[in-house]
Amino acid sequence: MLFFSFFKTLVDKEVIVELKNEVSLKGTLHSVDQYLNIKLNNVEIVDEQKYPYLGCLKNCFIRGSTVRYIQLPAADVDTDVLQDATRKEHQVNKK
Amino acid sequence: MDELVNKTVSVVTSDGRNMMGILQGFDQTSNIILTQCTQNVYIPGQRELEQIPLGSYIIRGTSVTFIGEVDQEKFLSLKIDPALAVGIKSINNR
Amino acid sequence: MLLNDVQLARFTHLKHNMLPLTLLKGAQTTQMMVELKNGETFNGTLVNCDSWMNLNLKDVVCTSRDGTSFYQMPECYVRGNLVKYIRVSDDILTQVSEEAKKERTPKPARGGRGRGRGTFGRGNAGFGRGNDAGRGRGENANRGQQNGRGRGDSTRGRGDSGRGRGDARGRGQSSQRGRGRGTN
Repeated sequence: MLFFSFFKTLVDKEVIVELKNEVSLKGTLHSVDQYLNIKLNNVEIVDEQKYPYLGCLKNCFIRGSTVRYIQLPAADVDTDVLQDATRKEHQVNKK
Repeated sequence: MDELVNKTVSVVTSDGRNMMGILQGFDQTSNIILTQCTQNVYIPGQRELEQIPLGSYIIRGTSVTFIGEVDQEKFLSLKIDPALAVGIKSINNR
Repeated sequence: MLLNDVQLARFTHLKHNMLPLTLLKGAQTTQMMVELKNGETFNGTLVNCDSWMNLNLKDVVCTSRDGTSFYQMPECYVRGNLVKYIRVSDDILTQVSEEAKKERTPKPARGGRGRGRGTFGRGNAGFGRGNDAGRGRGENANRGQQNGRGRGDSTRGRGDSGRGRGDARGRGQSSQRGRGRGTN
């Protein structure tokens, strides 16, 4: 649940999602769900020359299981809060 | 995914295929129904996308990579540089 | 694939999200093509299916991955998790959505226990119990948890999210009434 909550704090921020099939999608995070499926608005394909036929997408739904990395905007990640939340989650899980 | 229902979408599957069709429905596991489906095949080195009409499909969620709403105008004015364009890789069933 | 207005109009009556498994159920006794994750395809008539997408086919022709060898078998069983996709005929889609539409049209409300009438598609607010606050009966035991039954995606009672709306109070056991809108 930690990551789910974390990604919810990044809604409306710009992220780059790199998939396992090596396609990278850049866009505004619209929503996430419990499976970490991601919805992006204003999508751009990062390497558009390589996949020109994907360039016509407006918004997209990405299945969580196919994501390899998500590049986050560093300025929008509060590492202290994140660390605290991680500890809390760990405490809860220990019980 | 609600907003994508009844829209023309492009679906990339885990085996690297790219299907385009109208999204009729989906469920929790992202199984989806596509109608008026065409498979967009890109053969590396070519200038054009080959479109193969296929009919109606139920695609299982586990083989879906991503689903995007298609901007039809952009799709019509698609330009492919054959020197750079490649096909989409498949994800080895993981 | 670009459609003109006429082609699009054919499908615009399908305002609802049709569940893949609902469609599959409706496609029983029809011909279909199933491709498995390993690339083999099975052409046959659907005899039965369940909510895990396990399939029972008859009069099957199996084609190997490379398309060079074919096997014919009178019937076969395909485990749902091995399916990559299923190709069905367009007619089935129209047929199932018609049925769904019929199912959705208001019927006289039935008194009695709060068992939501199963419908196809997901909750339209048109009629239906469980939408009004306080209408439901039962102890609301299921609130926020998944009902034990598969993913609730067979044709009966939806409610993947298991979240009936409305604060239920009263007696009786609640049985997942209402079609909670699954958050997506």
